[in-house]
Amino acid sequence: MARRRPALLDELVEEIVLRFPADDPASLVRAALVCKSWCRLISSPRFRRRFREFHRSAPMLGFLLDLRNNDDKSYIARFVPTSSSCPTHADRRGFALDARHGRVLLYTARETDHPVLPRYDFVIWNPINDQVQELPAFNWYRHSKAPWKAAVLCADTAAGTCDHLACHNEPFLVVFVGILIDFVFVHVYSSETRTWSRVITDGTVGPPNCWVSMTGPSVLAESALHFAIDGGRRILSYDISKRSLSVSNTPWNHRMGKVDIITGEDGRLGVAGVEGYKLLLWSSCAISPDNNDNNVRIWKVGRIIELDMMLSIDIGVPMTTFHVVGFAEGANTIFICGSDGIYAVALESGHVRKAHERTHFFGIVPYVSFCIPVENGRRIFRYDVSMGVMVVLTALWKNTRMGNIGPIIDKDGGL
Amino acid sequence: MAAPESGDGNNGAARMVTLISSDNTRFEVEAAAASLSQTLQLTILDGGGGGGDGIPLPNVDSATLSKVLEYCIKHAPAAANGGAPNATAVDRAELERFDNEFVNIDQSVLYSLIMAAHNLEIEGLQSLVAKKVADMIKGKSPMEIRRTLGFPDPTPEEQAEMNAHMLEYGWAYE
Repeated sequence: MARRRPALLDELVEEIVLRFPADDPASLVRAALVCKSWCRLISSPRFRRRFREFHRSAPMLGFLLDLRNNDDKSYIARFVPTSSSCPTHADRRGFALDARHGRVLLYTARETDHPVLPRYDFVIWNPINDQVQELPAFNWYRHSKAPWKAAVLCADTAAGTCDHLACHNEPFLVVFVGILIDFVFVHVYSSETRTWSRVITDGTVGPPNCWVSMTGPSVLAESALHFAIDGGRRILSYDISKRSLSVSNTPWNHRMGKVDIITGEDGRLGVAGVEGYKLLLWSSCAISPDNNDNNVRIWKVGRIIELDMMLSIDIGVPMTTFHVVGFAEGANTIFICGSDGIYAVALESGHVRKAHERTHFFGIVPYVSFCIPVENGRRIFRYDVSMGVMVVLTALWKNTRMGNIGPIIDKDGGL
Repeated sequence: MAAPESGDGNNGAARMVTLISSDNTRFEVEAAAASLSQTLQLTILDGGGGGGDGIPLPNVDSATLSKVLEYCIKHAPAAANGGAPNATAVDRAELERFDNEFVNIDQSVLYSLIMAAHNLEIEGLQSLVAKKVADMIKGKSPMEIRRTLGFPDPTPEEQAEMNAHMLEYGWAYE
């Protein structure tokens, strides 16, 4: 053996760097800059695969905040990082509806297009590699009585053949659920056939004129996509294997404002809502059909998180109220909005941290994905010798944000 | 092939094996503890290491080997239970406490320890030390990582080459 300390074997370097936290992508970049052999190792496909397998579930990298530009009334989806990474384009034109399996579904509203047969334009955006894919325009009713929701997911979800660790370049589906009076229509876009197809045209949701807001992403649980309707009073579920619809109740009561659907215990559907300073988490423990083809869910409170105990903020103002604004599927994080900003509640650790100052926005869509550096010819960020990567990442992100769209959104988020 | 002892190590005194470090120090340990090492396990199953022979380990010095064996002896009972499905929470907490203290050591020892764990194929020890080193370096800049791990500072040529490499190729995420 050599007398002086020999270099660490590549296998050991790999074992060490594998254990870096998945929600700190900048740490991987810094390690890749240690020397050329580390760089080769970390940017290899083998390392990326092992890193995903080692960490098993993707981390939350940030969330998209839906804002409105008051000048031209267009929507902007702004990526707010909760980790040490941020896409080159933090702002995207469009309204973020949903995000899953590495992709963000944006609705690029065109109010002025066709007044009679309105077009629905959707865009799929991968914030990590900045790839954008426009879906073919899709025609459906546009009417204040014709609300709708949409979701994106990996095409292999129904078959259960994908572990969703690295399926961001694989085929995907977009599920559009529209409600006209009391009929439900389901249209599905497949990236493989590049077409929209009508799956359901005569579903019913019970009492007509239910209240559906475009905001509020879907939750994937119990092999179905679930959407909160009626301000969280009911759940509309689309079974992706059986291609069938059902409607069920939530444990909503008048003391809570809005409740949101989440993944509950054992991967079953759950609901989160705030009563006073208590964050209540329900789990759906039983489900049975009623006389009207609807499902009656029995809910039980699984956990109560005392927000006033967890938050380090001054909630002494009597008017301070909280409401649930989003849920990061897979990362088990609930977003709540208070009178002074947005807070992220990590359910596993119970840790609460402030995620953003803003209190006026149209929606939150959390983004959960791996983010691992790859070396290629496309320059996403630059290594600055004198500054260090983190600084460069932040500076570049800020520059890009200002340069792209500019600070045109007022502090109330429009309207 | 089945081992001569048929894995029946509990009749009377446990079987002992002798390990010899690179500086010729002899260590006598229970075969069950030494068998945490995949490499040693093969030798031991073949009947090696018993009696006066001893198994020479030319890549591991005595200081490192005694540390490695401290780990093995502590973890052997849990490993014998096949990943310890019936271990109590107290046992697991005790092992965790031991592990945390075990890696709370000087960097140069950590370095020899991970090399030894790798050579001897002791998976648990290797991942324990790898986690410790990862925690030590994850927040550091590339230059600080180099210094922490005792790499020589890059020569001006190497630095220039690295910078050029970065500027030329750029990076993306996937």
